[in-house]
Amino acid sequence: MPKCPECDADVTVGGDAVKGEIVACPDCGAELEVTETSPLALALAPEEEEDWGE
Amino acid sequence: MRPSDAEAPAPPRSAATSDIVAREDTHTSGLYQKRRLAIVRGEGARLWDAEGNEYIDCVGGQGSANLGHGNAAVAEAIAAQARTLASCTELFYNDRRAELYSVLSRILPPDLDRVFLCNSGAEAVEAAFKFARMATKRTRIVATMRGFHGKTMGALAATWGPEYRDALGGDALFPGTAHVPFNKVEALEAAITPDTAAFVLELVQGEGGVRPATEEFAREAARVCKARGALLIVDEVQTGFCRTGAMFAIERYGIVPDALCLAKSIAGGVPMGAVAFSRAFGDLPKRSHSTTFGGNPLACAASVAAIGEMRRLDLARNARARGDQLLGGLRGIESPRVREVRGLGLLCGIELKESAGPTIKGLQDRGVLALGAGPTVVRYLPPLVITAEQVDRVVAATAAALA
Repeated sequence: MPKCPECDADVTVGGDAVKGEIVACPDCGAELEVTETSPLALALAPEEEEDWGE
Repeated sequence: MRPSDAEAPAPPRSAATSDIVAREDTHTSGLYQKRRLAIVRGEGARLWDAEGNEYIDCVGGQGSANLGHGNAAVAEAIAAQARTLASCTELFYNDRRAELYSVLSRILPPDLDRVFLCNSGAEAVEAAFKFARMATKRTRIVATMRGFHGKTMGALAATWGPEYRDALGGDALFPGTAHVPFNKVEALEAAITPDTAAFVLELVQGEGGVRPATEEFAREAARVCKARGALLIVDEVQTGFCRTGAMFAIERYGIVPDALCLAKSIAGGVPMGAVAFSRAFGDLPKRSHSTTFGGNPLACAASVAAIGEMRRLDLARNARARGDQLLGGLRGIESPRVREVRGLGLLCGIELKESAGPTIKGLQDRGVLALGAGPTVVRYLPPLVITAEQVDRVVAATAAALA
């Protein structure tokens, strides 16, 4: 099972995942991009630019 | 005033977008990533840009427009108070402030019978942390991963986003702060220790991706805090004031924290924040915290009127009904791009398997303004006066944007 590069938690990815799909780490919420499906590989997804304040 | 300001007349209300954008870009801080859209007018759940285009507002002032735009009662209260007395610090007592305390006491849990008034959500969080440290004589603050509590230095200690913290030194800048995975009950026992001053929690993570807490997680947080002598701070800056289908989300979860942080819609769009807190905090040292504008009569008058309108219009009921309608409609969209739809009341999100940016742009092109909540979630935060017909149009626009 792949690990989150941010917090090292186990990340479950569906069997139907496709390359380019973005999944979230269940613990820290880091957004991870599926860079390969066989074997499964994850990398931090590019950040969105827009944000919103408190 | 700079020479260029003196030479430039104020733009008329109908100034073209390019003119407004140019003027803002000349002087803005540069901190905000802005859409090239100049919003100049609002009514209820509708907004208009400088070109006269109409939108359904699902940004809702990022949660500060629960009452909708252009509420007449709030506008009249602000105008009347501005003519009477706008400024009065807490060096003195004031009739409007006293009235607001009474109004808040009728909608808050009886245990939260003291209130510190300030000017924003981040300020409310800052104050709650200071109060917790003073009351417990402890320094450790525990928060949740994916949590968002503001970007001022103290509040930032609890905010999760590494993109906000790393440039300032990350964890090294805020020693003694810890983050636990959201909704992982087993993590609470280990993280909330005898040296913990407070645990701060959003009952629905907003920026963190529109993620409701489980009832078990909220209940266990309260239990562990009590067992360890730590104070439970619930951040309802975004979930408060009818957003989740109750005046406060704590009502839906059946918990009463030691402190409740409020802001955004508390004063109908006028900047205001508040911390409601219990006697567990004891007597706070005089002069240990203060704010010049906190509790000013203008904001208090706006808040009294806004809360009165929330109750008169029964916005909590509309948030439940329209929230169910929106969530049901979004769940009915058949698209392989959708991973999950979730929310509580009218704090709704649709998580995609891809970046949310193109869908948010697609919604805007179809007359619906929405916002993100992390890279893959489209967040809907409409004014709670939104109608059933408008919700149908939002669902239809979303389906078209995802087609």
